[in-house]
Amino acid sequence: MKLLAAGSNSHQQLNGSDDDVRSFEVFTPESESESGPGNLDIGLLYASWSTTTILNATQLINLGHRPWSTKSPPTTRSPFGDHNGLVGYLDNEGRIWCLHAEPRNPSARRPPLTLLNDDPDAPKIGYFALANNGKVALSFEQAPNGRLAHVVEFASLDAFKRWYLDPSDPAKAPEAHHMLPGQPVQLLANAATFLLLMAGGEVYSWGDPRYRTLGRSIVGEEAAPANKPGLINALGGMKVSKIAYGGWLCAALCDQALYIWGATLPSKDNEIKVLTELGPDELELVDVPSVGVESVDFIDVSVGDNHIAAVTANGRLFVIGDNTYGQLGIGEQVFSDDWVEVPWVESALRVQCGPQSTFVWVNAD
Amino acid sequence: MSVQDCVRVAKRQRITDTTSQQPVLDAGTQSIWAVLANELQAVLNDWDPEDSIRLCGDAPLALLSSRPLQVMALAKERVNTWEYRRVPRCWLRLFEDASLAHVISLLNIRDDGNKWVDEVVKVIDNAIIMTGASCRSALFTKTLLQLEHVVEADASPEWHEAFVIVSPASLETGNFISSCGPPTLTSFQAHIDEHTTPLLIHRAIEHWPAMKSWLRPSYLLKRSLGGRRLVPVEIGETYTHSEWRQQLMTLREYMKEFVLSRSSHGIGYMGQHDLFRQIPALKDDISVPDYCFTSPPNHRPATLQGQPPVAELDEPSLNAWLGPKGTKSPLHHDPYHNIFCQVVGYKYVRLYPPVDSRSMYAHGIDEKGINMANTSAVDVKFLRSDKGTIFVVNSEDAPLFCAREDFQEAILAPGDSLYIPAGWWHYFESLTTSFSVSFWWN
Repeated sequence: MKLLAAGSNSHQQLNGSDDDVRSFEVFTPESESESGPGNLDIGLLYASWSTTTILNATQLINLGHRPWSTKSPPTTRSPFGDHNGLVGYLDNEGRIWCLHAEPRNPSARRPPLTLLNDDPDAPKIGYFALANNGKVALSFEQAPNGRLAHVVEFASLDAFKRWYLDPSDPAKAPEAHHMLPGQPVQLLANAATFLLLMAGGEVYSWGDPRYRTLGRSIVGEEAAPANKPGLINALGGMKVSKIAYGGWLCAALCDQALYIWGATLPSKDNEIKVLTELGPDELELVDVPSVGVESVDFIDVSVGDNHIAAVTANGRLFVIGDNTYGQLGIGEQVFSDDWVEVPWVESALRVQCGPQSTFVWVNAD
Repeated sequence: MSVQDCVRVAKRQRITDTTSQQPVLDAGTQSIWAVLANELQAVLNDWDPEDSIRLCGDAPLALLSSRPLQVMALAKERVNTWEYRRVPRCWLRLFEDASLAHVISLLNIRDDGNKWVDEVVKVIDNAIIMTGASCRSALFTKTLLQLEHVVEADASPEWHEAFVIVSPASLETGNFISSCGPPTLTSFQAHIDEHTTPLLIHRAIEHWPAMKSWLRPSYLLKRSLGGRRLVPVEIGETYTHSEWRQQLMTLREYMKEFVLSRSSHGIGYMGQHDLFRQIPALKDDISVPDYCFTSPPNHRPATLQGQPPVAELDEPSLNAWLGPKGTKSPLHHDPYHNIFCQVVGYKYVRLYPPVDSRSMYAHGIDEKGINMANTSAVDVKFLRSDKGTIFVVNSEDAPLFCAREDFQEAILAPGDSLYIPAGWWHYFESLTTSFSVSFWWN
């Protein structure tokens, strides 16, 4: 497998030059590890506005703004952070690990990573998400046959930390507590909303209702208000296998069909027109030109702050949205209103987007 | 050599150089821009330890001088992430300083001709409009002032000498607003204490220089750096309609496209904009009416009960309203007392007292989560007929409204001021090109 990358290189988070990467190139970070260039099984843990944090067999490496590296942790899940880089993640026992923050400069985060709360009775967390507006949502670890998910919210990461260190203090309690039927498998945050996927394929959304990001109506007697999780009925009856989130954009993969909704950044002039035409309970089914007669099957999708990337069953990579920093990998054009296939990317297996970058794993053969 | 010295040298050169017609600045004075750029850069590198911009973190701050546009984009995106009044200050500061960094790079490059001037003004105005420029407004003002010397050489457009105003026929109505000549401050205070009802005051603003100077588009261009200053324009019939949108454009573009001619893009209105904070020189053309310094009574009208309380204003809040014939402000009420002054042209106004709210069919919360309870869903427009002065577009949906007879109406003429008590419903429609100033207080 090879890992290719394109997009913003503002802090040299993709390569050592001063230029953005406008067509996909092999991502070969120089690292201090003993593993030579031959060992390339790189997992991308977290891509932020200024950093790329990668995981390989032996090391956890932060490239870009304030580089560092450390021994790779045994397990990681739900990485979270902000525009200054990774802040923390969960391990498989539901415990939170955070990067050490310098007291006089909290945005400078470096290893070692430490357990936020080493008390064995600390709450065990299933999934964790941090939105750009500072809000935190998390789901508690659930027994394998558990049928009710508990999801709580905090106004800020600090408010979450205060509770996590002392959950019995009622003054530190979460600002919201939702109980939903099902078993969460994914909990994501973008600019100001949360999206929750259950094992049974149902999707809930809640948060800031501007820009159509909730994918559901908030008006009327049947509708859940914006600040409470509500089912996205337009995905009802379909088994959603993966959700993806970024900026104000959303995507859901179900049975190899791809749906998108929300809005591109309102601060920019360009927009994906079909999204602006969607009503509050409507989603857009993605259709791309196919080779031959069969319709295209999608196997993966990821969403940046202002662009979306998707991989098809036959290994093609399609992109749409903003390309100001080269994140679509299609050259000089600054925006693509329509889906476009990325030339020269073949045998794509998986895709992951940073806010202004795209990473794609391809079969090396 | 300071910036002021360079400017003085330039001025002296201009006075003695009577032969050439070339643009004001020649090669020798290019250095005043370098001096200014260096002065701005020095400030940018030197943040106060308490400056909230530091809360944005290192990654954006490290990029300020090398990629100001990318930092501006991040800041703008973050400003959009919250409701405006909840945006953490650090993001407004970041947008402000990234704008300053971009201005510095523009001053250093300065392409041929004066296009770079347009760009600098645009960046500064965007920063002022988005952030209020709480920290850098002195530097922005200084830069704009220095630019005035460059734009003096602008060619003037081929426009009318003055806005063409055709005075409409006077209003025949049984529901006139009570009117008078300018009351004394004590009698005005007595009026709002005892009655708190609308009052149409004639001739209180006759002495404003604006009454003469604002009739001339060329004067407005001069005050706005050759019309380069950006203003927010609402395009589309009214903000309750779906195609309505807000757009920033230069004052020159606005006047050319939407005021002096009929635009193909629909109707455009520069309304509710604090033009005076943006262009302080315009404040010299008007004066805040003394009436705004009276104390309004304490009782809250029915329309304002249940609404979130508003902050007490330390001083009256000013807004400018400039637009062609046909601009409308849909029926709504405000939590502030208002003195609305008509400077250029004629405007129709209709008022409803703050009672019987059901008959006004106020909007609720819309799909974007915006509370529109202060706006009526009734769509009206000015149309004289034997049935009255307005036409109700959606009359079948608003029977209670159509039955109301307790409204008051008038056509405001240049020199008129209208006192609108807080909570009173009001509808405005321009009958000619119109330029007005409103003063809110509480």
